[in-house]
Amino acid sequence: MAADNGKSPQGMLFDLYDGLNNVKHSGSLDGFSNESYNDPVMTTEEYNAWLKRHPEFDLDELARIQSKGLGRLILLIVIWVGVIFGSAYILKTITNSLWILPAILLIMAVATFGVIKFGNVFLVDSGADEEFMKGFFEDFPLACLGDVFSDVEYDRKEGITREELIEEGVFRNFDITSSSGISAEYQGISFYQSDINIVLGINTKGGSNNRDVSQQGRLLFCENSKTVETPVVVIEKEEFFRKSVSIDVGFGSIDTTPPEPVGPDFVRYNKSKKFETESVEFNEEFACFGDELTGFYVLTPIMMDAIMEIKSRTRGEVFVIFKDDEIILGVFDGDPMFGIFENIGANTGSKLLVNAMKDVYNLRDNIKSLRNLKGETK
Amino acid sequence: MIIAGIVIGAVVFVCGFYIYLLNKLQRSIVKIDEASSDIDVALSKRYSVLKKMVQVVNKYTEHEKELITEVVNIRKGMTVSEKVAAEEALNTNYKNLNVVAESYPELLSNEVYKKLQDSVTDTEEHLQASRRFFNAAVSKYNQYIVTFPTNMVANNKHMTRRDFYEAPEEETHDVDLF
Repeated sequence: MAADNGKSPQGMLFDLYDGLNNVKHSGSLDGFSNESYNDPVMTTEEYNAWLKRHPEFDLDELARIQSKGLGRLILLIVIWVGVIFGSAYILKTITNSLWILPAILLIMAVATFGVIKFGNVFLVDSGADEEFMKGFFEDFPLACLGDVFSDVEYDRKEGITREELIEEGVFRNFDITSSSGISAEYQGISFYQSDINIVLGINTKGGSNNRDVSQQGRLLFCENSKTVETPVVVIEKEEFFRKSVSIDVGFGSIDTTPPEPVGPDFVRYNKSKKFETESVEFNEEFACFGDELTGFYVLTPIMMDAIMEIKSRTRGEVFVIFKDDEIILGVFDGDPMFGIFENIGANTGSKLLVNAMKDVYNLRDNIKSLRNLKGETK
Repeated sequence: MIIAGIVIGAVVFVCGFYIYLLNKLQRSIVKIDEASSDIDVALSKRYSVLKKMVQVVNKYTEHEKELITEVVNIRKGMTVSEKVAAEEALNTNYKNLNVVAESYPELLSNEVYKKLQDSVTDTEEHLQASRRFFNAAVSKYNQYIVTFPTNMVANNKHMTRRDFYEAPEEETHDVDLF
């Protein structure tokens, strides 16, 4: 199989992960065995098997189109620089010197706007190439998900709605945007995951300086084998007990409390009571709220380990809610599911597959942890 | 006058502090009692489910008397060791039931029997939760008993350490219930 840069897919994979995300190629998908968690990595065998299973996605062709697009972008930049210098020269020769600088700045601004606004057009050729890329945007994520999960439904643009979240009792009074709604099944366990972006306003005294701060993450709704009558909420301590901070607003600083994440709002909304488990380690990291006996019922030592494990491999905030017969896992690390597609131009061929599968494996590992499927084959 | 004021203030403070610590200890005793009663509830539930199982098994076998080999005595206000003994007896009976049931394939495929088996698993989970809740409460109370300043009040009120609920040996592993 041919590959971009004249390298074999195996070589490219190793190259990719040498510098990318500080991830090592462990040769294994299961990162649990390591003390410091590495993102789950697609092995070479899995990579090749995936390509065999999905011949409709030609990663070499993708890389070719992308490299062609990159060439066009470089050409565009060269033209852009040429236009600016050319304009400067022309302006210098025909106009009064006083007008040269503002005129050059104006041309630069227009040219920069043009590159930013329309630069992406140059990444993808029109016609057949565009059609080819469209396939990657629309069908490729579904194929990646379908490789691990069954009964997959995926909507890149639509996720959970604000109304649904309010109905769940997890959120209230927040502006929410969502995307990447995934509903599927893993080893008989139904789940739904949605990317979510919560916009929270910070108001200073008098409301003269209002700011919107957003928190981006993912919400995973996974069915639980245990049913609880009252909800149990597990939130990171440092997150819950956050204190007032100073924020630089450009002309001085203001003291304000950062927007609170979802969990604490849920706790207050349900007037839950704080309790501690028998695990000192867990209590140091997390605060638990709800009926104590129900808490002990759902927070088994295995479940506490699972939550700690999820936290250890997350680069952001984590909370877990046990509600009815559902486990809701919130991971707010700023990474959207399949975020790689937001910058498809920079993710050539194999990188697109490996990084997309990394997101899929992360989702799978979260489900495995929550449902204690560790050690089972995928 | 000033000295009298200081003395009165100190006495009020000491009394207030003593009451605060005493309440703290009493609250943890109440919590232990609550947890203990939760264990009783869980054991009773388990007992009821097992009784129903015996009834179902009896329809398939005539060896009724062989099914219950351990006498189970579940009542309110059992001591910790009595609870442990009751749990052990329930476990033995459940094992005996399973041994008998294995000889009757029809019984094993009986829907009611299957549901009862699920219920046993559920009661086991609740029992485990109650046990952990109880032990967590006892642990906190025992810490109060030996640490300053609560140990002074505890000694004064002759409060002593409480026993943990030691699960029967075969149940000390974490049950994989998913």
